[in-house]
Amino acid sequence: MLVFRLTTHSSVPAYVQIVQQVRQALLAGVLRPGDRLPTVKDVVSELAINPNTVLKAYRELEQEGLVEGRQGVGTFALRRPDGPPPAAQAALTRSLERWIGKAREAGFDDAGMESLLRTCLMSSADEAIA
Amino acid sequence: MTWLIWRQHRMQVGVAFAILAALSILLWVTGLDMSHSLRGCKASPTCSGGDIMNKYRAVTTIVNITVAVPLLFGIFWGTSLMAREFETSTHVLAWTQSISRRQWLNRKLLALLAATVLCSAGLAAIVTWWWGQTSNSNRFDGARFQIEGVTPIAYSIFAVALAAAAGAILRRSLATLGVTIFGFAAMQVLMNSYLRSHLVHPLTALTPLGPDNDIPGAWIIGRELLINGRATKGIVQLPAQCAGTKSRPDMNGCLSESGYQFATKYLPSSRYWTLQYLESGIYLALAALLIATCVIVVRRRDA
Amino acid sequence: MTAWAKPAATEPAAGNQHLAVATSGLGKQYTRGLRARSKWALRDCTLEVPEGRICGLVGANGAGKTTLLRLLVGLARPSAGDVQVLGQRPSDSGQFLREVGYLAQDIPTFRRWSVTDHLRMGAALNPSWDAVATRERIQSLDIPLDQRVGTLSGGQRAQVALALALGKRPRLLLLDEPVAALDPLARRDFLSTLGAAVAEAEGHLTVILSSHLVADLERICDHLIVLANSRTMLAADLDDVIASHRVLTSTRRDVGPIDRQHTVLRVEQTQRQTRMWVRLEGPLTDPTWDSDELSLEEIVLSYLEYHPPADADRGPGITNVAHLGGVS
Repeated sequence: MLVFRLTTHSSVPAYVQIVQQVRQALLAGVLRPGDRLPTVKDVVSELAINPNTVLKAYRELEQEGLVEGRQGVGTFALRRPDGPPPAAQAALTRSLERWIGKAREAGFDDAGMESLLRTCLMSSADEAIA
Repeated sequence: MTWLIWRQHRMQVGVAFAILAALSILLWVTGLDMSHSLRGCKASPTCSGGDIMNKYRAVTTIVNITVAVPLLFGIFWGTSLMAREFETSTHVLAWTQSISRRQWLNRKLLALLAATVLCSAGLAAIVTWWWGQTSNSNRFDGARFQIEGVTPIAYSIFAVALAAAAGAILRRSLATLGVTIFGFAAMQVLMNSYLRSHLVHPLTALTPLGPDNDIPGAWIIGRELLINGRATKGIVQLPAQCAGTKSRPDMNGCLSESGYQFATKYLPSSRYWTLQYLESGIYLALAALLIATCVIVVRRRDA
Repeated sequence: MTAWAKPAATEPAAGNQHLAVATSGLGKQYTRGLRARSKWALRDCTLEVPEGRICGLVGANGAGKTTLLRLLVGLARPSAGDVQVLGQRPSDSGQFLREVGYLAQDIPTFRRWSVTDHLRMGAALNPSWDAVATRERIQSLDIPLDQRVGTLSGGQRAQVALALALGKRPRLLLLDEPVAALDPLARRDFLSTLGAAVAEAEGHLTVILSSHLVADLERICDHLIVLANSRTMLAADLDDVIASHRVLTSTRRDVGPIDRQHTVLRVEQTQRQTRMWVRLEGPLTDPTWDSDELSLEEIVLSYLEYHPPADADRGPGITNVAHLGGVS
């Protein structure tokens, strides 16, 4: 069963976090096409957030064509989003976990790691343009 | 709503009716026993009613104590009706279900007043019956007027109404208790010492001095000494001619011949029920006023 | 500035444009004796809460939160103004009371009664009582049904009271600081249960929940009312609130241009820097200001400390109410 986790006080709105986690789950194969997503009620029970937040996230996923809502039954995954194949995803996840371990040992905290990632993304985007 | 009223008050109502049942059994058993003994006594020349009654002194005391019962209704049932409810804010719980304030209040008041009537009427009935088994035929005697007939029912309703009104206004159990006890006692004192004797116009009879001046079954309200038909005031001197008499009966005889007699103000036993209804009517009228006050206060005030 | 997408405005459920609550100039006055001056616990309160929302009611103690909730459920009568709840004035009738649930601050219960007794009371007093769902809700929280309510923990008692209030399937639920005295875990559980109930109701349950724990409100609420000094400072959708409040920073300069266009809540000026907490009434046209988002806590604090200028009834300052976004 897919369990969501929310980072409070993040600049990322809650509904976006849910959208991202559903996408990640689809990419990693944890959620497969045809699987049912957690009901709004279950997500709210787990996270104590507003139901509209979950509805908004599911609506956005529906607009992207990743999920389909069926009245009275639930919301179901439709397809895997474009992205690296599961094997590549798994490999990258493992190397990322190793990197995180090393960064922690070196003294980085989560915020530091995030900003480092952002900086690298921006500079690699610049390189791509250049 | 019926369930709610029952659940809230079941302990008190249960205890009260249990006590009533116990008392009823006690009075019924002793009453039968007593009347049997008294009948046997009447047949025998050597025995007096007073001796028999002496044996039942304990029960007589218990019976006389029931004069406090109306106040107990007020204290236990009346304060829980309103004061405790407001004090613990459970009225907010009741008023935010699906029942209106008006319905809640009316049903509660009706239920508890009905239970009060039932319980006090039951007690009054058994006490009236018990006293009827005794040799004492004066229904005005001592506390009898307050524990027999319909007056105890009226007192009980008054006490509960007083506690309800006080509880609605004060919203505190302790303060309501104080007001109920004080108010009830004050009213009883007022009635006993002043009002009752003015409710029905008394008769006056001229009675001689001595033991023959007793009017059976009547309530002696007052006596005035008349000398030759004129009322006396203050300390009265013995007339010279009776100064030498030795015994009481001789003294009485001499005084009577000298024109001494009593003007006795009394209420005959035929007026017993009139007085009962009048007094009860006053208490019930007061109770009605208090209930109306309770209703108005509860409906008008913020929760 | 991050590049994350801006939150979209919350769309109301299809066809559900009704207002759960609408007040106009609502006020409540308490008289203290005959000679002492009467105190207004709530004044000039004009706000709207659309149906289906979970609305947070924030304010300092004594700001009028409890008074407002009591006026909405009919436990108190207004001294001034008008209040409409679910399209009608609060009345002492079964028909109105059936639709509005209320949980008072001290969570009144019958301490000596068992949980089952309370459920029995709910069933006896409410024609629209859902016995099965209520019992399941309590049992799923592992609260023993036969235990005396007085011996339950604070969190459990709050959950029982919440289940009682929800049991009659109301359309509006008013909660007066229900989690104030609870530990964080109990708080979380309470809000989860509340959110789940709203989710189940699919837009037919509106909740107004007063609290001074802004973090909780941020998670569970999508509408916000801020009361300060017995007046309404803010009443709007949460997303609009977050989107329209900013802290502007710049080198020290005159606040006039900003003040004329937008609503300034607070100004901090040092020798070198000017910082302004504002509510944007339109787009920020001056790019020389650094504009940063504010957390809900900071926004609420600004309102609680805010004192409207003396001529607040004229000009662009906050009068009593700020209606933002789609709420008209």
